[in-house]
Amino acid sequence: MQVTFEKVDSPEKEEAIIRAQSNTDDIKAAMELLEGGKRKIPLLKDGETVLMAVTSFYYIESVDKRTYVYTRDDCFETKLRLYELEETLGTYFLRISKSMIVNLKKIKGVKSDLSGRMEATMLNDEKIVISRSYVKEIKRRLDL
Amino acid sequence: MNKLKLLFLQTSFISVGIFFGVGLTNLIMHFAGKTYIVEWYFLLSVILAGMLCSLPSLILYAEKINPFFLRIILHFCTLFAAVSLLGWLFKWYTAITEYAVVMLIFVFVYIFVWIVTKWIYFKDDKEINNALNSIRDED
Repeated sequence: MQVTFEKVDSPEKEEAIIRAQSNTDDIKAAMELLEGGKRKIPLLKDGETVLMAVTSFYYIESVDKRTYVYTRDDCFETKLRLYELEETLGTYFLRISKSMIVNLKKIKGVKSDLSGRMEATMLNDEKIVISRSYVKEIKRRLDL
Repeated sequence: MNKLKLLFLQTSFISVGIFFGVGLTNLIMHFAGKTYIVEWYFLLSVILAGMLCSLPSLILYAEKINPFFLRIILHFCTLFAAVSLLGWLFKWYTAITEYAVVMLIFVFVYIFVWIVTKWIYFKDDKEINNALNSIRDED
């Protein structure tokens, strides 16, 4: 891909446009880097809409056709469906079961038990289960 | 991992484990001055045994049976019965001492499969944790 740098005279004029045939993982990672974690998504809390930076998301879960976003100490609802979030959130957000997406950057560690279940401990010490069938995709996303 | 893939992997592990166990026994018998001649259907019977013995693996996924240790005991007992039956059908043993050897091999294979499985999981965990260390957010 050809990359061009053009100098501008004010921060308001700063902009990056990526023209590509498809939005690959590399492009998503580049966008995430350029946005510097400033990207926000509207979430619902007690009937009010709040804008929350996606970098603060720990994991997203779908329960009874409703989608919930979990941060360090809070839980919000979103109108977006899980598959819509999966496509837009960025390269470090990954499906780990039929009903859950996790932010890989918020995982403290993983541990498998003999039954094949992989348990992820989040940075806030919350534990979530990763389906074994998604382990291959996690490894691919982490370049393993 | 889908269940079909798991059954295939288990079949491979069990068959390889049985071949290894029988091979080791034959080696010991050879140095003890004894010979053990297998029937024409022996190799196929081991692969068939691998397939049949992989089916009880589904017990391990029966989440209603708790704790997990209970599933392992049930799994072991079902396999023990299956191997005894297969051994009788394919004439792996004709005397009680031979039956004891076959079941000893079975126990060895059973432990071998769990060790390999645990090792694969441990390796995955280690790789993933190392990679996560380099991207983790400061909280």
